[in-house]
Amino acid sequence: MTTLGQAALAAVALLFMLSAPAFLSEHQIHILIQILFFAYLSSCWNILGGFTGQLSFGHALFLAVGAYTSTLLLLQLGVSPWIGMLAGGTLAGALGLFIGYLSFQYGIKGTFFVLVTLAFTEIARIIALNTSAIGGASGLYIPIRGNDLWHLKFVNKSHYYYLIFGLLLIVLAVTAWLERSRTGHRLVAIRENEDAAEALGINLLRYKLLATALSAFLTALGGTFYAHYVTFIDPSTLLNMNMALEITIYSIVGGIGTLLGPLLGAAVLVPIAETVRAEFGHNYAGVDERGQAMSLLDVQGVTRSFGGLRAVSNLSFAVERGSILGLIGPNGAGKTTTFSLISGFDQPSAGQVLFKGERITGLSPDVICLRGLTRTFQIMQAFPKLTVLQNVMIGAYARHRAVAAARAHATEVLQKLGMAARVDEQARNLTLADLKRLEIAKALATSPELLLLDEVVSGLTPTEVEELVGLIRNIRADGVTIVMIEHVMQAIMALSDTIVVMHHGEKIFEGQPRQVATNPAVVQAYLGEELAVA
Amino acid sequence: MSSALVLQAIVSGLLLGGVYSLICVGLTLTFGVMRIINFAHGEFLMVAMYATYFFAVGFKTEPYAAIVVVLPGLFLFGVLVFHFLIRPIQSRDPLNQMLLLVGLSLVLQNGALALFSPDTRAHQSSLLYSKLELGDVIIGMPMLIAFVVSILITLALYWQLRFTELGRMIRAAASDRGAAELMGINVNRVNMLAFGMGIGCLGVAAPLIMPVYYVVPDIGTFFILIAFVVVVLGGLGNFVGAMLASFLVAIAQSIGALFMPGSTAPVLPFLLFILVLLFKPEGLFGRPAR
Repeated sequence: MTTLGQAALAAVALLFMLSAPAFLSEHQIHILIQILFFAYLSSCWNILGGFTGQLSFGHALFLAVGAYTSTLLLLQLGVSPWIGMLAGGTLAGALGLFIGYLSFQYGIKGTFFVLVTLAFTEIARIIALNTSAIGGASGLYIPIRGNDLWHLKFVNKSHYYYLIFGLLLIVLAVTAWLERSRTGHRLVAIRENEDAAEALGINLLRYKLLATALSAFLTALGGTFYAHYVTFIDPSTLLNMNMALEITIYSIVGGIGTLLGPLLGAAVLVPIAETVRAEFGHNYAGVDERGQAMSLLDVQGVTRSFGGLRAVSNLSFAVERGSILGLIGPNGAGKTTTFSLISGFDQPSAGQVLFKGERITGLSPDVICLRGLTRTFQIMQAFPKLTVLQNVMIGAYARHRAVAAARAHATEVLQKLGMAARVDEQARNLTLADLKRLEIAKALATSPELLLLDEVVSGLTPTEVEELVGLIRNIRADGVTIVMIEHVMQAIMALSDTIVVMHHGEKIFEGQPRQVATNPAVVQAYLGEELAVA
Repeated sequence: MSSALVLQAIVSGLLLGGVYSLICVGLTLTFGVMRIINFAHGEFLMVAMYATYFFAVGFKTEPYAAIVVVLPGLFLFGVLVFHFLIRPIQSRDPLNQMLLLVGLSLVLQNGALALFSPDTRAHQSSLLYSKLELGDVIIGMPMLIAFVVSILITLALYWQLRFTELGRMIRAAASDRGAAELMGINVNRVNMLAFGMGIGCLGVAAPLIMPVYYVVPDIGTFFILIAFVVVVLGGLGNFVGAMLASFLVAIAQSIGALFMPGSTAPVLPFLLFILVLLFKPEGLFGRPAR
């Protein structure tokens, strides 16, 4: 093809990409953003992995550095994410130099470089999980605040689309320059044969470090984009091995060490992944041992009217066994009423609730509890004059007739919740944090299969929130399915597999945590609330 | 810090080391065969754990009974993977082989996600809460069983490689492929068997750890990073080294947990790993190569 033809083709493609948001739906733009985002990351990785031949599985680390630096600067000091972006990039570049220097100076390459970069990422993950100053396990949440270019906050997705598209153009320009420049040619020479390259006067260490720092810097810019697009970051999402692999995979599939390979790989794989997820992800979740698709809890068209007011209106959702579902919404949205309707404290005006495939609507709370579904209360309902152990034993009696057995079971539950030291205290002497734990312990002592938690995190200090998030994770790991109402977004985002958003008694959204913050209806509901308060 | 606590930490570390060792001897064996690290090792373990789970639930048995099916099953699975996936690209760049295994791990993990859902599944043994109490130290029975069996397996593999005909052939094929072929060894067949054995180890590991862990589609990633650390520390391809490194890593973790803030102790193995790669790349127990 002639140069003129190529230029024309490029111009058409550019025009198409620039005008795309005008005729695509929100969801389509979201997928396009994901394609561009991963094409961007993989292109950054490609500079080191593809051109220089140093396979890194540590780019998730650089991504996280970018995300955390800009988010922390914004939350702690109010610094604009644009500045945070450059700061994160610089920090990641320096980190890249450090890791690269250690590795290349000591002759680590090939598989061992892969393992070293993985090891650094894992160390970072463990440290991040344990550092409450940067959010610890529950991560950081960027509040939704309407349109503001300086703070990188947009209600409309197309702005994010243009931002990531711009970043992609930058990395492609850098790559195209590398392909034609002396530096790029020397990097390729290093990849192909280090000894030969060195014999021809190339300083291996210097060029490898240059590629590492550049690649890390650019990757971190993508991290800042991610943090502000998704508005939630945590170590388990950013610093895990799958993220590290995902960054590399698009280059490898699309063509490692080529200019457009990463873009091609992402353009093909991301939509496939999305489609497969949409087609099969839902159908297969919760298939039980008998091979039948059955949700543990199935809320079907439940309505509750008080006079003319509909507190809950035609609400439906399902909870899969082993999952955590977060129920959120502005005050008065009908969340606690929903809990009462499920747990039998209140009866719906219409609709029904199925638990393990059987109708439980109309049963009393104690019967429902014995079937394996119980709740906690937003306003703690401890037995004030009983000791902590006695409180929890009351719950244990649901499954144990003998006092000794109930005591043993209650002790075990209290140990799991880290309250072993408090067993003999009277409930009325407990701190708020311990009361919340006691509330969970009582419910857990009934050995539920499904646990409804009503605002167990609200009102706690950040450190206490984080501890409780860890405990709730453990409870789920023990096989208990959880539905939780919560106002603390960090906890909800960190814990939930699925989030249902209620507003004025209706479900306005159901999806993954990372989709919630970018959903216009949800943003509207919360913004409206904030404006009303202000 | 009371001495009882430290003693308990050492014992717990030893027991955990047994679990690591079960997983790592297989990994180090497959490394000896392929000369690359098997990135799908954790997913083979995941497959073995699901097989154990469904066997134990389906036949209403203890998880341990599943060994009779899962061990030969995993061996066969390993043999098939070697024959159809690894053998065809054995002459290529090692990094390509590694990426193939990365791809296999993603396919297995997501396949499990689609088939079994992300639910956690645990099958508790009746032994779960039985324990030995020696003074102040408590030893959980399932961990003790895993520990003892892991040592037996490591010793059995060591003996087999040292003193049997097949073992000699495996070592010959690993150290010099061309020379082994000239001696009339069918290197492909030998490597296939060795790879099958390495994966087969997981067929023992899974039933042994099922009573104490639960299985989810990404359980492999939980173990695999530690496993990489262990085989490198032990000296790649070195069984006894892998076993000793397992204990070292696990004890470092459990003692570290006493002294380090929060739950930061798991960084110790990775720090150790980076230091060893930098300064003693042949592993803690290996002799300098070449």
